Amino acid sequence: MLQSIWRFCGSVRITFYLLMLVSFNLAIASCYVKSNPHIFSPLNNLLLQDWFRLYGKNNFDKIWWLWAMFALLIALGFNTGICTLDRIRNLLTNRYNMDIRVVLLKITPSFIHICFLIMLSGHLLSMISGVNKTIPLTPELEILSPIQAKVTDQHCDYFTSPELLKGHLDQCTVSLKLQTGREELMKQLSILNPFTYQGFTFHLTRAKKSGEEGLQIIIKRDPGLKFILFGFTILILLMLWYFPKLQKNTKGG
Amino acid sequence: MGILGARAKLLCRLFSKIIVREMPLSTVSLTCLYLAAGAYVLSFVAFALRKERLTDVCFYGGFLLHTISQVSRGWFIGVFSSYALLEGVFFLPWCLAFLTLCLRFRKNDAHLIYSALIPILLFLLIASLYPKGIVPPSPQGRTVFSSLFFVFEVMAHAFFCLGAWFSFRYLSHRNDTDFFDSFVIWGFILYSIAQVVGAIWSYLGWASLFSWSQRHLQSASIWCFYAGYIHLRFLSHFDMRKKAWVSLAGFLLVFYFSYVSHLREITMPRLGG
Repeated sequence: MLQSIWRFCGSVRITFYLLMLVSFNLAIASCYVKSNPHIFSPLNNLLLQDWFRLYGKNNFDKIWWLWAMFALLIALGFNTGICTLDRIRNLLTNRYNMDIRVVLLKITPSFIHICFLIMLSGHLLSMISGVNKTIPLTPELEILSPIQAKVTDQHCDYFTSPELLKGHLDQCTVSLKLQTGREELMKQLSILNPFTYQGFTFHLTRAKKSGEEGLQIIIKRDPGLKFILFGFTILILLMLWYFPKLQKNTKGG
Repeated sequence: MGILGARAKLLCRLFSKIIVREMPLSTVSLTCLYLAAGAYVLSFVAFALRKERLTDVCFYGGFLLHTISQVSRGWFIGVFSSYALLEGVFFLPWCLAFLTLCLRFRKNDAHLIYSALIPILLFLLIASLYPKGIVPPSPQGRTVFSSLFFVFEVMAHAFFCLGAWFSFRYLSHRNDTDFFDSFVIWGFILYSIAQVVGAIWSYLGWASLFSWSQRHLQSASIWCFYAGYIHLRFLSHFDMRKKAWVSLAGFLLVFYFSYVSHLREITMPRLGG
């Protein structure tokens, strides 16, 4: 009985249906996010629990899909984990009856699944932990204790040629004087060129507030970043190896 | 041979004098786009009449003109803009033509391969109706990661599109081969690469790998859908016909999401037309 429940929970059929449901859920989510920017935009600048306290609690009719998504992703995580464990156990039991290349080929989907689980955990970490602070650009910045910062220079360059581009924004640069205790440091920050200081990454971005464009600094410490990028990159590399190999084997009979 | 060589030289000189030197690049781009469309139409007519050689010649000529159009579009506003070059509405038909050309060199079934002229012409028609100007380049878009993102994303869309087209052929002509599956798999791999590159771009420009926005959620939805498709090979009750239906549904999702965002971009202020 327990074994059949275990098998059902880790079956590929369940994986397929869960992935289709997640896809459908995300498609619905995209409509909600588009039509309720006042609720969902702050989610980009806040941790999930803070956002829920401020915006989510009173808007259940608009955020129900988020709970459905978490439920589906948790189910998918369990399903993937069980499927991976089962497959690895079977392959290790039968490894002596197979050529090492066949074992490697057969075990690759399990590694891909492990990478997927790493990615999922990374996303969860990014949403619930770390630092995500957005500060409008003013001469004296209130950053994060014990870091103090002053804007010493700020300028934007605009295109002067060709004719069609004249007056359009080219780049913005901000010079910052950072201080932690006695340590002082001058840093230049521009759009697309963040820097890291004391474990925090400083980004310069454009912000639209009440119709006017301005600049803002985002200070970030994202513990999930490495997990997501590492997991996704290895997942792609494994797929690049696995699928051509599989197709070659299928063609070769 | 000598006379032919001299004539070719004269033609090249005329081309460079009239087209490259005297026409603005935006006009070169548009002229070549329409000429390419004309060549593809001729190629399709020749294909319908089963004139294989003529189909090949018109298609190769069309592809050459299409490539000139696409490259010159990069300089549409006087300076190079990768966004202009890689804007989905215009880049997708080129990617479709490029994949068709690659298929033609690799496989011999001209009838099946040149049937892809139908989606190419459909997407070229959309491109010809779309505003030709360029959305002004934003400082947040000027990184190699944004260019790579569009290359991989649009190429993945082209794979999904041809995958869906050959699925449709497979469903309607029972004797067609089932190689649509490979297109979907390669599309998924390229789409995954686009997601990683896009995440890096998003992190540099907006300080976040994933943003709770319509665009990112739609991309995640497409990725999950095709991740589901990839798992179908492990389900014995899902035969190739059922897979072909899923592949078709997947492209409908891609088409709806990407063209909804292109439609929104029509209202954006554009430079040069």
